[in-house]
Amino acid sequence: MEDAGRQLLQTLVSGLLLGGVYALPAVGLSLIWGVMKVVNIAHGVLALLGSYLALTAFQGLGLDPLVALVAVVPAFFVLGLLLQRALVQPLEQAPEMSTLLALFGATIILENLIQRVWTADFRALSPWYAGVAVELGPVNLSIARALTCVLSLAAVLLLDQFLRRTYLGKAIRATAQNRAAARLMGINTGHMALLAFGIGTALAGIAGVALSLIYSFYPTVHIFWVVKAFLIVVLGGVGNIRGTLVAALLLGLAESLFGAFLSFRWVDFSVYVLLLLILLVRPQGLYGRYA
Amino acid sequence: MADTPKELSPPVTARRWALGRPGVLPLLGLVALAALAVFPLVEPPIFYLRLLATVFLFATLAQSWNILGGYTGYVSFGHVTFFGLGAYTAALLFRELGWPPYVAAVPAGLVAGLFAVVVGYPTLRLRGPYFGIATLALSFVVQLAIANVPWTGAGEGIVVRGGLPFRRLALEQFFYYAYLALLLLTTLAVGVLERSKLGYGLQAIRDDEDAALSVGVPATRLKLLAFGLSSFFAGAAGCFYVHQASFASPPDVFTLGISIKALVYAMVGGAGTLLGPLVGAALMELVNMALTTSPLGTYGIDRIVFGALLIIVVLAAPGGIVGLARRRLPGPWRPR
Repeated sequence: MEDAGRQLLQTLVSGLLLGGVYALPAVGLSLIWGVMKVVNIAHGVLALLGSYLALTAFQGLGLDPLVALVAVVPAFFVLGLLLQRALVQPLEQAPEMSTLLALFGATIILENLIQRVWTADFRALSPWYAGVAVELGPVNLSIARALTCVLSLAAVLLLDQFLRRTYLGKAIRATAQNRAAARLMGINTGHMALLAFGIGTALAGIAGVALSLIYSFYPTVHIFWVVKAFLIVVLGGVGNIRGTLVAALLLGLAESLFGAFLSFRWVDFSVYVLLLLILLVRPQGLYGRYA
Repeated sequence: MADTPKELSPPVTARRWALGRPGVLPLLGLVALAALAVFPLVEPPIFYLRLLATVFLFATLAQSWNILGGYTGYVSFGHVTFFGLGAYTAALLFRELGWPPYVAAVPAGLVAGLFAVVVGYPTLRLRGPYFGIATLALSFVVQLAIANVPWTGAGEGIVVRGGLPFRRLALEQFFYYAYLALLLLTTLAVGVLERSKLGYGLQAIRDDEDAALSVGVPATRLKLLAFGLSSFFAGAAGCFYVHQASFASPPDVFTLGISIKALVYAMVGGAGTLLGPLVGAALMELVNMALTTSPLGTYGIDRIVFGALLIIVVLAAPGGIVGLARRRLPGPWRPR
């Protein structure tokens, strides 16, 4: 009996850690989607680029992936600005799905660029703390997972505070809520859209580095990342950072619990059915109104 | 932002001229069709037969996606669900009853279409990206379910070999004509639909669903019909595909790539236009093949160039190639 309780506790902890990591790619996507009404299909492949850059920094320069973040974050911010100016902004007046197509083109380019540079092999990052776990009372805590979860939560909370407390953050939220009204209030909505895309892309970079610490990766894996992030964003309510965090934690928990109680073959199936059901019962997200 | 008109109507004289004489395009279309119909009879290299057959297959998928995604405005990210269901129906009908593809195509389409109506009832209440995500999740659910049920061959798949009594060239010719016929049928259906009461209802839903409802358009029923029809043709395409590939496995016939191709080709050509999916599928598939077989392919950068071309096309023609042609081409050349 005590074993069962311990196992349950372990399952819950793993689920929360997993969910914490899921939150990171999702909030970036949510921000971009909320402000620009653009589903950034390139979000996953941008994250993956972050993973590979962390890999090269680690293997080539011996840098810890977390140190590589110092370079990845500003580089991805700039990359986001460029992407927005090149692909998103020119299509602002075009039919809404054309931006998605352009970003899909960018996705193809990046995916094949990655494949060309780093080959199609499975890669994994193993700094000294990979595979090390500490016993914390009744549960085992993987250091890599705990670290990535903390990193993810820190980034999400920082973003949340930025959007709530600073003038720039409030201007971004105003742009997301009502572009015309925001412009009437003297906000340069074009700049806010640009900034949001930059921040969102930087978050994708961080997400990629974090994911590289706990998963192995290969050039086409990004589509699974982006799909899961989409589902989390929809559950959490588009543009709603806290909602996204809660949705990510719930998804992590659900995956962990299904994994403990179901045959592994039905885990993914159950997760998607659950998401579909939630979507059908509460299309407005777990606690938002329609975006 | 919304106050600038996106598309200026052409001057009245130009329009009258265009209506006064028959367009060049229908004529060109007939010539092209005749050429495509006799092409396999000259016994060309199998590579070209297959290439064109693939173009027809994806044009069919893009055109069937167009019914719901283009005309009704419900952009699906899971069109492959119905393609795969048709493929598996055909594979099972072959395994259990030995039915050849030309017999199984109708039941395969019906299974896909009926499933669409059943799942459409709850999912078509979602709008915009929410519907897209739901269809995407659905395609995963169906794929994983089929991969886990022993009766459908589970992860090992079903072998579908020997359904047709032909040798190599005749077999290739058969699939060429089968896909061509299916494409014609789908395009004909969309052409009729475009000018029918149902079609007008769908376009009204796309333009403003609430307004359509308020003037008495039975939106739910029409959307279900559109989803069913769209999925019927995808299912029939899956039936022929599975016999051509002679194998059905979940990762093959439920791959996300097929959903994306249907969507991208239709939108590159022009969603909500009759010619758009055909133009998009032909252009993208042929360019893709040309790049892959070119020296770029041996350097492994063909896909990178493909992505860049996609971006260029989208930036140059945001509403699709057909939309651009409507605005820029002189009267008789203008597609409707």
